[in-house]
Amino acid sequence: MKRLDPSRRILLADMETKGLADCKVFESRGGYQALKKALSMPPKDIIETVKKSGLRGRGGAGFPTGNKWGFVPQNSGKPIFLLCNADESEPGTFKDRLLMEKNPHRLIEGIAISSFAVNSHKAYIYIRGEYAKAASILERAVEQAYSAGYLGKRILGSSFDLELVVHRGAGAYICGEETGLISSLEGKKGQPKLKPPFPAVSGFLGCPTVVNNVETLFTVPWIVEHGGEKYAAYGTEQSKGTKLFSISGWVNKPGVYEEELGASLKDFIEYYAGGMKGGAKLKAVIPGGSSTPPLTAEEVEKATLDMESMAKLGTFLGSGGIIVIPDQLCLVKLVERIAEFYWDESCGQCTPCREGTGWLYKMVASIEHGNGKEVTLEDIKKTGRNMMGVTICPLSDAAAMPILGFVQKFPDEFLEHIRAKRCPYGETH
Amino acid sequence: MESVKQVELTINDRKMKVAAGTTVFQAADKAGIFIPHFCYHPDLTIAGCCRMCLVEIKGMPKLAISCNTPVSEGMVVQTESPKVKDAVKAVLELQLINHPLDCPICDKAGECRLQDNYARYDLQASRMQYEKGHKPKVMDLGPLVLDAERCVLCARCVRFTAEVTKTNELAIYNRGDRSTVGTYNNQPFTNHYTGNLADMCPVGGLTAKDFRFQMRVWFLQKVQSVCTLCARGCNTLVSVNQSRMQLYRIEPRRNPSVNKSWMCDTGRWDYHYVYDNSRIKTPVRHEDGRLVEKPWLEWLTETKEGVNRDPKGVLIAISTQATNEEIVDCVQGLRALGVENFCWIVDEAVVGETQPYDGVLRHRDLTANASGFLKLALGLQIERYHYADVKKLFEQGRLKQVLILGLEGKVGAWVSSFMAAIPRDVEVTVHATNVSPYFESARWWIPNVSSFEKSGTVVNALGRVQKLQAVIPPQHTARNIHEIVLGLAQGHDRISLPKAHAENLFEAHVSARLLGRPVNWRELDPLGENLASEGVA
Repeated sequence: MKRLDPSRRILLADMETKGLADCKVFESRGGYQALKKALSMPPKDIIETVKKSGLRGRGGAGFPTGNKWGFVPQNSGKPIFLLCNADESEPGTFKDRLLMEKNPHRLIEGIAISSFAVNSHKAYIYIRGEYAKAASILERAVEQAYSAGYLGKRILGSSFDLELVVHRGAGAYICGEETGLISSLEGKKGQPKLKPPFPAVSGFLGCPTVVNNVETLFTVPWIVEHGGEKYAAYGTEQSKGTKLFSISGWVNKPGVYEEELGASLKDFIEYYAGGMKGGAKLKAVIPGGSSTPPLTAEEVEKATLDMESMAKLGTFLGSGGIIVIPDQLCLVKLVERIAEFYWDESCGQCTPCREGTGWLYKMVASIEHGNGKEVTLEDIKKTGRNMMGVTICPLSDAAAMPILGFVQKFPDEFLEHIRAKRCPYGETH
Repeated sequence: MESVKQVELTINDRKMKVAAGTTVFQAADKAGIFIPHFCYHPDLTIAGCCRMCLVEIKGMPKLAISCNTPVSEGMVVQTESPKVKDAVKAVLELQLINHPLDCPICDKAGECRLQDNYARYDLQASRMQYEKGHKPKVMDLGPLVLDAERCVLCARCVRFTAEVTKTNELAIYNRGDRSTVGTYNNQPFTNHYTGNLADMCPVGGLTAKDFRFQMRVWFLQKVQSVCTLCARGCNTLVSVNQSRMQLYRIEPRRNPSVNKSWMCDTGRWDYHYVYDNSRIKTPVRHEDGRLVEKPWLEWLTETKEGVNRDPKGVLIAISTQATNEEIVDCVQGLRALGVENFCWIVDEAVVGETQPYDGVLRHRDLTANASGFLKLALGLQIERYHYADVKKLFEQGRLKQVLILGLEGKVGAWVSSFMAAIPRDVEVTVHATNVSPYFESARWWIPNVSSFEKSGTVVNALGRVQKLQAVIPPQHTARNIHEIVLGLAQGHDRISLPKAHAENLFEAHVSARLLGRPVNWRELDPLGENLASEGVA
C-alpha cells in the first residue's frame, strides 16, 4: 500500500511545531531560506524549476503552475500583480485555512518567491471573509515579515521590492473563481469576467495578473529549496507531488492530511480518517469538494488520489475536499443542500446558471419533500446537461455536475422518494 | 488609410474576408447571417452574459459565444448546426422559466427579442412546474417604467448609463435568480438619454411612458428620417399609424458617424409640438390688438402687393430650420421678384460648433441646417446675412417689410433678439409652426409645416447631408416655404406644387451645390453623405 512516510511530508512537515506562526520560530525551523536562495537565482530559472516539478494548481482546476507563470508578458509596460487565492469556499474544503493559521510565514515566503519569479512588486492575499482568525494571523505575520525585511523595499539586501496586502472578502463563493476574485478586489461586484482577455494578460486593474491558490504558493519554497526533480519524484505521471486532503463526514477522525498523489482513497479513509464512524456502511464519497460528482462504494475501492484515476471514474480530484457519506444518510437531502448552495451562490450573470441553479434546486427539493414525479428526474438530467459548458465561469458546471452525478449513480434513491411521496429517511435526520 | 490585415474564415459554408480583430458575431452580421442575442449591442462593450450567440467552431471542444470570439485565419464556424440550435433552445428555455409571459399586456410585444427568438429557436411548452420568481413591477423611474420580472438581465441599460451617459444610475442588485436591475433607492434617471434605454431593452423591462400603451407596434410603419431639433441631425425612424396618419414614436436609427444608436430625449419626445394647441392653424392678422384668422389668399395678396411696390424694401429672414431645397427655392424664386435682401435666423453665438456640449450628442445650435445655409449662401452669393448686416439695413431705414420664414417648434432667444431689432414701422410676417410670445409684434402669423410634414435635405454640424422625409400630411392649413414662394410668384394659390417638388429640386439644383455632383434623391445614402470639401457649383 502506497502511503506517505511522515518524514517525507512537504506541506505539513513542521505543522506540530508550537508557535510556528511567529517569525522567529519559523526562522529557527529553516524558514525564509528558500527566499534567500530564490533571490540569488535568475527569475526564469525559478519558473523552470517549478515547471520541472510538475506542480499543478491546488485550487481545484489543476493548471500547471509553471506554465501559468510563463504566460505573463514581461514587456507590457504595466505592473504585474500576484494574487493569492485564499477564498477557500468549496464546501468540504478546509486545507488552506490550516496552512494559513498554523504556518503563515511559509505562505508569505511562497508569495515572495513567486512574485520575484513573475516580476511582481505588489501581491494580495484575498481571504474569504469568514476566515477572520486566519486573516488576523496573516496580518500579524505580514507585519513581522515587513519588520524582518522579508517584505518591503530591497528584500534581504537584493534589489527586489514587494508589497503584500491582506484583503478580506465578504463571503461570496464566486469570488474564489479567479476573475470573480479580481472583480471583487477591484471593488466591483464579485462577478467573473469574460475571457479573452485572460488574467495573465489583462487581469487586476487591466494589468498582467497571476492568481494562485494558497496551497500552490505554500509548496513553492520547498520546490525552490529541494529542486523540481525532487518534487516530481512524488506522485504519479500526471499528478506530481503531495497534496492536502480535507476529509469530513461520517468518519472517526475528520481533518486535514497530507498524502502523496496516487494513494488509495479507501486506505486514506481507513488509515488517516480512522474509518467509518460506528462501523457504518459507506454509501458514497464526494472526492474533491461539493462540485465534484460522487463515487459509489464500489468505485471508492479502486479509486486512487490523483487526477488520472478520478478522471477515469468521471469525477475530479478538485480541491481535495473528501466528504464521506454513510448508508443511513439521505442522498436526496444531501443533493437538495448542494443545489441550494449553488442557487444561492450563482452570481446571476449568465442565463443558464442564474436560472438553472434555481430550477434544479426547486426540482430536487420537490423530490425530497414528496412532490416529485418520475418526469422530474428526467427534467433534472436535461436541465443539468443544458447548463454545462455554456457559461463564463465553471459555477454552472459545478452546480450541475454533482446533481447529475448523484441522479445517475443513485437513481433508485430518488425513485424511492418519488414513489413513496416522502423522504424514506424521515424529514429530520 | 492604414491597411488592416484581412482574415479569411468560413461561416455556414460561406467564405468571407474580414479585418483582423473582428469578432465572429460581427463577421456573421456583416454577411447577413443572423445570430440570436440579447446582450450584444454594436455600440456598447461586450458583456457576454446572455449566452445566446453560441456558435460551433471547428477544433474547439465547447460552443463559444460569437460576440467575444475574435476571428482567426481559416476558422470554420457553424451558427445553425443541431448542436448550436439545441444549446440556444436550452438557453431560451432557461431564460423563460421565470419570465412572466405577460405578452398580451406587454407593450414590447411585437418587437420583443424574447418573442422573436422563441418563435425561431424554441417553440416548446414550458417544463417549469413551480412558482416563478417575483420581482418589482411597474416601477416609476421618471420617463421610464421598469418591470424587473420581464427583464432578461442583459445589462445593456447598465452598460449604457456607465459607458455612454456616464451617469451610472443603473445597476444589477442581488445575485443569482434574484438579480434585479434598478436604480439606487428607485431614484429617477438624471440623464438626458433615457429613451434609448427603452429602445435597447430587448424585452418589456424598460418601457417609455411617452409610448406605453399608445399603439401596438404592428400598427406602425417606420419611416427613415432625421431629427431636426438640433444641429446634430441624429438619424431617426419615425413611427406612424397609417390609418390615423399620426406620429407615435421617434427612435434613433443607427449611424456610426453621427449618432451611433442613440438620440436625446428632446429629439425623441419633443415632437408633441406637432399636435400641440399652440400650433398656428391658419394665417392670423393682428388687427387693433385682435387676432383675426384669415385665408391664405389674403396674406398672399397683401404681401405680394408689398413686394411688387418695393422689392428692395423686403427682407427675407430664413430660419436655418428650413431645408436646403426651401432655401434655394426661396432665394431663387424671390430674387426673380426683385427681392435682394436675405438673412438667416440662427443663434449666432453657437452656430458652427461641431462638438456636442454635453459630450454625447446635444448641440447648442437648436436648428438643423445652419451648415446647409452657409454652404448655399456661398453658392447663391448671399453675403450680408448676419444679424449685424441686417441691423445696418434697419438703421438705414430702407426696409419696409420682413418675412421670417421656416420657424419650427419652440424657438428661443435667437429669434427674440432678431425680432427686437426690427423697427416698429416695419411690417413683419412670421411663418412658424407654433405660437410664441416673441411673435407679439408681428402683423401676420402664417402656419408652417413641421419637419415631419416636409421632405428635403439638411446638413448637420458635422457637414453631413441627410434626408428628411415627410411622414404625415401638413397639419391644418400649414404650408412649406416652397408653397409660399410659388404663391408669391403667382399672386394667388390656385396652382399647387408639382409632385415631388423638393425631391426634384434636390436633384436639379441642390445636390451639385452640396455634394459637388448631381445626385438622385433615391440614391442619396440613407446615412447621409459628407459635404463636398471644395468646388461650389
